[in-house]
Amino acid sequence: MDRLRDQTSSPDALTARAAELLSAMPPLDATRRLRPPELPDPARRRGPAARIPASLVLAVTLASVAAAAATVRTWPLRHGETRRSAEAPQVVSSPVSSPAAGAMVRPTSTVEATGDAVIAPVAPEPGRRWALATPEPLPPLPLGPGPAVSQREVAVEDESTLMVSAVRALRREGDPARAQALAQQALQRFPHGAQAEEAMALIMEAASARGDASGAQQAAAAYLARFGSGRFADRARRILVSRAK
Amino acid sequence: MLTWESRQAAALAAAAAQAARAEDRVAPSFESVYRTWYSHVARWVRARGANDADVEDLTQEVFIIVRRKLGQFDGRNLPGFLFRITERTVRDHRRSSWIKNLLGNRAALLPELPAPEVDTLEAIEIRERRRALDAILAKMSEKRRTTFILFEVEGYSGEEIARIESLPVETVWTRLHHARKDFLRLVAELPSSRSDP
Repeated sequence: MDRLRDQTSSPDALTARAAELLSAMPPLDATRRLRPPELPDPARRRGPAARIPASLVLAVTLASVAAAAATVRTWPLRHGETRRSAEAPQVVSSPVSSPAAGAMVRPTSTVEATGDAVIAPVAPEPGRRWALATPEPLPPLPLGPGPAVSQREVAVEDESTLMVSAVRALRREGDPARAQALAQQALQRFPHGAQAEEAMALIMEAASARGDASGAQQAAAAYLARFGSGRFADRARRILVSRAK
Repeated sequence: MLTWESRQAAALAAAAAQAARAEDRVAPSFESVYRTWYSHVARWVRARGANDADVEDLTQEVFIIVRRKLGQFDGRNLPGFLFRITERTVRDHRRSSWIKNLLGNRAALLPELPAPEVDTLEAIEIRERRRALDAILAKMSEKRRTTFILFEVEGYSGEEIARIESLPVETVWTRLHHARKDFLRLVAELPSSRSDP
């Protein structure tokens, strides 16, 4: 069988056109020199990393794993202590005269709080009992109870998640009632959290969006009492001024 | 003066002879396979539809797999063994490229520069012809296209293609016959301005 690409001078115009087209794709050898790249020398193929003893690699790996495990074990607890200091059960060292006093007595060296709260190491002392006490009651919020939040949302414990949900409810979903409830929940659970200021501002804004003027002004007053020169202070003052007018 | 077909035939014959010598051994060494078959695998990669820019990378990938699987080679048909690996490698590359394109990770194309030895007008004509040719080849079935390119472009004979693709020679001729019919039909459908240089 003759090759089509050789028939550029064929009397048949179609065949000639086909041959002309095929000439645009020369064989690969003609377009570049197909010489295989040199293979690396097997003696040098492994590189300097191969000279590191396996025992050293193993030791470093084990040390890294141990360090990572220690970090993972301790970091969330420290983090949790600061975040949930208000809600986590606190271990108090109060002398208890007898077990019948009503407190939960646990004469062990470690007291485990319920749920995922803090595990606090406690040193046993003679003559002293260790009781699991309830946290101090939170100061009441200036606003009344907001709209009910679903059980699923109550289960959410992360401050940022609550705040993101609240902002999303206000800005995207146009649901200020839910936003206010979520922000209140965040503030209740994390009164000294990193986003407490934002939570108070959001309560203020959500109350305004709901048309709850008195609630907004209470929230503004509470905000100014706590963050007098905060980022949302101007907005809070405007809300208070509008009421005065 | 030797034509390019005769050079191809001589190169393939030499490669086959060397491969036959290698097959006499229990297992051919990777180095000998690599040196002997590199240029052929590169041609097969292109015949399977890889871009010219990807040919060398894919050829290297093929030989990485060959190094791993050479112990499983039964010693019968080394070109067929290599061609099957080439087929799978190019197919996998095409799929991964498709997924990357789908996800929007398109590789930036280099500008097409004319070769320095040809003038600009000729370079443009060649490029236009190549585009038309690629468009036609893309419409052909993969089996026919591969056989067609191996025969028409790379200059392999029917018998050599049969050995490479592990097919009866009659099947190769049948594929070539149908591929040529398809090709001529698609050329006839081209607008005259696209194919006429």
